[in-house]
Amino acid sequence: MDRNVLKRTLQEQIVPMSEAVSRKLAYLKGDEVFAIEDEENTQTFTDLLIEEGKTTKPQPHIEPTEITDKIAIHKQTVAEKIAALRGISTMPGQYLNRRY
Amino acid sequence: MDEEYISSLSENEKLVFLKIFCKLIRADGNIDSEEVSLLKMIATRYGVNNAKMVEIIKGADTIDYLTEAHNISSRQHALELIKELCVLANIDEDLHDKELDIIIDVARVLGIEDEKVILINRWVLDSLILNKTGRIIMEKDNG
Repeated sequence: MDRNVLKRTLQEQIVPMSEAVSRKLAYLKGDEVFAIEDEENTQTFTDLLIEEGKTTKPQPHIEPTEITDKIAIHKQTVAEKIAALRGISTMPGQYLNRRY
Repeated sequence: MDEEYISSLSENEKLVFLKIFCKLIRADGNIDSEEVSLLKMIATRYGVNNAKMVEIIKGADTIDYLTEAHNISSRQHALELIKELCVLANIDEDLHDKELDIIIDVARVLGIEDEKVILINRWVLDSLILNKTGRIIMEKDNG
């Protein structure tokens, strides 16, 4: 990183102490306006952590039933493909019932 | 700020830390009486006596902080040094250009990445704000 860019970045991190403390106090008291601003500051810090590789980006939430359904569909698809390779016809959802 | 690392520093590393602190505090050209008191207080935390600290302060002009920094071989100690330098630099709510030069120079000599310095400085500022807020809430400070 260019030295002057680094210097400017460090200097821009400074917020007047009295203002920062007032904002933090308001946040702790539950003042919605300042709470939002404080969350923005927190997000910036989280972004720094993500860049640092110390945490991962939040993953989209997936309901457990969605995962179970996807596994079931995958198993069904695999069974049908195996049946097709072996030249055995099968109705969707039915597993193999071969006679040996 | 966490001070557990101090017990893991060697006697020589403690002196290195104090010399570089002295250099940073003097970065704006002078060390006033308040800064001398601050340095003596810091020296006490490091288990270094007043006489030794006064000797360091008197020889501040001759301190080659980059040569001193080379005596820090552990990354953990290097990170602690950068953190403490950021604390000292930000404690007066102003980052002097020469203070930044010292922090950046020491970080680069110790192999601490620029992005890490930014992260540490941000954390130090947040900690100072939180500490001040706590002092007001606990009525130790009028704000």
